[in-house]
Amino acid sequence: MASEAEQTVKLVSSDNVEIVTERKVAERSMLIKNMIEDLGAPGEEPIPIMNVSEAVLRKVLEWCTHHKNDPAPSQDDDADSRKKTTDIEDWDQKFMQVDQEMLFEIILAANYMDIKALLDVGCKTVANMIKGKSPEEIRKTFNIQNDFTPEEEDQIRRENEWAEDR
Amino acid sequence: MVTQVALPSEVVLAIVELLDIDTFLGFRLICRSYNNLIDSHMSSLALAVAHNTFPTQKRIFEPNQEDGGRRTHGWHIIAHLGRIVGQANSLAVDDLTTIGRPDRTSTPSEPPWTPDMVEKEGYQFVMQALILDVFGPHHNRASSSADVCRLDCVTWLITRLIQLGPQRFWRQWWKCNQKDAHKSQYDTGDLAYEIDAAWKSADRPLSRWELDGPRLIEHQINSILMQVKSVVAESYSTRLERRLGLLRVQRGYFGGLCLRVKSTPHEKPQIPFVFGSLRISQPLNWQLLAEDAEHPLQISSQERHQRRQETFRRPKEERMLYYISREAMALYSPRLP
Repeated sequence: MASEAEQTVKLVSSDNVEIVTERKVAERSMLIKNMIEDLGAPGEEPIPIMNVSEAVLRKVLEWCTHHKNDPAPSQDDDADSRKKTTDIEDWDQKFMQVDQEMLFEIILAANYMDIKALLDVGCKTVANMIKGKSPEEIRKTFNIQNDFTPEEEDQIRRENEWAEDR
Repeated sequence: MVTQVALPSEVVLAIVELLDIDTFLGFRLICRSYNNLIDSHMSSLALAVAHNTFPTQKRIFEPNQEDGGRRTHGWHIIAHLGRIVGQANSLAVDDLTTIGRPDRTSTPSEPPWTPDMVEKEGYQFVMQALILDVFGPHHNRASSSADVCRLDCVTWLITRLIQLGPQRFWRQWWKCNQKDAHKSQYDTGDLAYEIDAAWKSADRPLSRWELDGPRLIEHQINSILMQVKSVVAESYSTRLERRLGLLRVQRGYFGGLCLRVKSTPHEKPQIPFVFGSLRISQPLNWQLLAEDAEHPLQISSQERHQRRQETFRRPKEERMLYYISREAMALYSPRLP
């Protein structure tokens, strides 16, 4: 039977804060799971999560804790875009009720730590946020400068025209 | 609150994949890099966005094995016609004679298709679905591809739609995919209605490239109609089978001409081309033609009864036209490109 130390892992955030968590929780991240397998001695060696700050890492681990018993997604689910919807479970919706900075940080962390399900929830949240918004509003959301020349913008609008007016 | 965090392109793509078409089109206008990103992944994104926009229209997006690529083939034909129209619009009038002349007397206010529009691979599914909904029998959308062969007979309609421009395509497709689509058929502004009216009022000679497919059928139907009219009017001894719905003009003798139409696909009708220069005088009722014993329309029995009553109220010659036209279409459809 595995020792208590083997049931837990130590994660170190980008701001050098050590967080101990259940191995099963941490292994929702494919990045961590692969590192544990490579290191071979879970619980002893701290695992650096270079790109994720403590606050974000704790938030990500909160999500992983809630979903630690979820079945692994099948390959079909991954590949078939037709099955994708923007529906989000209630718990996940509440979980994602954070400020936009944190939301994007969670998405980046999920992408870096290879947590597909969390990345999906994050993307769905952003997609729902921008649905129905004008390009200008989306620019503000993403903090993006409009770098089109008027001619380029006009050209894209013309390309869009055929589908816009129904 | 505005974020300072920039998302990597793979995450942006994952988000765009979840958008509906309106937001998707708006997304292209955000900045150059996002627009380039979308353009480089247009094929997969367009499909995902189409699914998000019309989640219940599964038939539209499922690959169709039964039609042996006919829909794809149909798309290439449309793309080709789009190029011809685009080419024709850019040429001097004198140069048009060699490629066929689009109908400039009824130039629509909306822009016509341009080659780059029809070449956009990502919209292929939209086009296929629309063609089915506009040209095919509207009430049969639940079936798979039974009506596709009939689409080969509507080159004139395809050309007409190309001339009308893409916005009309889009609107009609949208309309056909609403829940109450059945009720809205032939409402004011319905493209099928408009096209039917255009067909009725068309008096210009059709260009060769418009007619390649349907010309032969119309030709034959017209010939048959004229003969049947003559037979009915002048000879009571004509042996016309009376069972409507299974009508076969088995043999009608008139002026030494032999008229023989049967529905077996391998047997071609022996119809002399004596009326070759005639254009068909009546518009074809495409919906009615589409209904046959093998592929009945998915309509209620009450609606079917009503349609039959309407059919019965038509003049006898016209009824015969419908049924004979159906026979001719059944015979000729498999041979069309």
